[in-house]
Amino acid sequence: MSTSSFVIHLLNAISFAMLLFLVSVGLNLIFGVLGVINFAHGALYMVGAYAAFQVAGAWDVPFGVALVVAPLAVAVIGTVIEVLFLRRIYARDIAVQLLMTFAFVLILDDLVRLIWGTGIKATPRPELLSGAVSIFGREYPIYGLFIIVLGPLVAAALWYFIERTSFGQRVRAASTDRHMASALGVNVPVLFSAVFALGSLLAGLGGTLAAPLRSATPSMGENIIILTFIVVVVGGLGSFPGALTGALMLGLLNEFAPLLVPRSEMAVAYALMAIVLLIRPRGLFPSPALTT
Amino acid sequence: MNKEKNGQAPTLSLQDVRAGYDIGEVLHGITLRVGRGERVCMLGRNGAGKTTTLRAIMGLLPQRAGRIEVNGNDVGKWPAHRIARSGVGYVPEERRIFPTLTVRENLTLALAARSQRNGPSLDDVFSLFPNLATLQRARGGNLSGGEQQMLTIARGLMTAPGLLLLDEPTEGLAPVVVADLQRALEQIVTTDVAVLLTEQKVDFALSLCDRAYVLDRGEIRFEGPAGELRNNERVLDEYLAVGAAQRG
Repeated sequence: MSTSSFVIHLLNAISFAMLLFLVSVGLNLIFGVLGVINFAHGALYMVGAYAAFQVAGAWDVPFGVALVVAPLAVAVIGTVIEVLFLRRIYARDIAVQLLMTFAFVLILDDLVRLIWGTGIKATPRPELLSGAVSIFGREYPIYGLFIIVLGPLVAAALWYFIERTSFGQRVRAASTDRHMASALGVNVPVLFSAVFALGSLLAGLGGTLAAPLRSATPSMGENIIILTFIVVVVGGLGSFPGALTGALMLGLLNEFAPLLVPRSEMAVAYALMAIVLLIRPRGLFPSPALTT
Repeated sequence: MNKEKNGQAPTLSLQDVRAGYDIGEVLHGITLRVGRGERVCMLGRNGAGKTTTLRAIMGLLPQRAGRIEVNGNDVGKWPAHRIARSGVGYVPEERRIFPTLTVRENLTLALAARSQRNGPSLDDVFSLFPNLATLQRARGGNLSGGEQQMLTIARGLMTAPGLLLLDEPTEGLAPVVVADLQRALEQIVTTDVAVLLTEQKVDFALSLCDRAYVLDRGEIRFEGPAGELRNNERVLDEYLAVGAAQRG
């Protein structure tokens, strides 16, 4: 492989990894604090992509607006799901929680089909980011570089939010002992809603960023949730560094494995998960609580 | 309840409180009160229902029946955070330090309960527990048992409570640590915060408190001034099973 094509593949791998990271870290945040494994996280990602299409594609509003509006819309949907449904079943068996979040996969999938139909919805790339730059004599889309830059920025903002603000302090406390946190005056139900909204926002942001890359389809939620589960299982449930590491590993494998082993596709990702589960059953960064 | 009556209502009042867990009722009708600034202890063997009583007050158990009032407000249906914000500080037996938070963060978290009340500053609680000042940046999970116990009490004080619930604060600690802790508790009870203390160390508890309740199998068996209980051999023997040699 030439240097230039290696670099291009590497950039592809990292930009896909950043997308995976944004979605995975949202799933991890929700699991780390609420203890709920949210099957509907992929569906929220899909809704983010359709919302981005609606704003930037159908209404032809600048993509920068979609970048704000679409994740916020997903956060609102997440809040409604948490407040009206999930909140009632935190004390119940984990199987009940899984079933309920799975119900929302089906509901959101059908809602998307009802509103936007089953066809592929392509969102144009934002004008500002639609060009390409020359890297080692090869053209590389600016949009890919934009995602590569945005991923670490969001990660840094999230780290600051969780580690350095009083909201984050309450989030970390409630993630290890929600009852003691409430006995110290923390309004845990409101905190949980906010965390679920933030996790949903991250899923929506991932979907929004994916919309100009891969178009919105009704099955995109299922595809991403499988990859996201692999990322968090490899990295460790509840761990932010784990989500970053897992996303980078999966991104690299996803890009380079087909070059080495043609037609391997998802088999390599599953193999990675199987190996990690065998060696470190709780992931590369196991933690009893939310860690950043 | 109207404001005028609020001014005179006891800090805490339990009337015929029955509560428990899924496995069954633990408290079979507890009636007790803690006046403003009063220091009250609740004594009893393991399993008598002391911890369950404190949890019921704190809103951490689904209250089954009876009435719990804090400053005259019926708090039976309030969530724990609202009870904490109304001025009840909770120091649980199991300590329940947040292991991933630093000592300082464990303390400042309790500001969530303060609302408009004034309360001790970090420096105030550090002067009470000098050890903690040097451990400010340490993670709660890395502290020793004694340090964690001090942090739990300091954290309870940071909520600026009108009533402090202390659940067996000296349990399981080395004697030298217990001595430190006792000194701190003696200082705390000289302030105007009301205290409801559960203990196994009968003499220690009675020396700190004005009044005592004795609990056995979820029922109150004795209620009276601390001095009276100290001389009541029958109650001490029957419900606390402490011979003179074991008292400490």
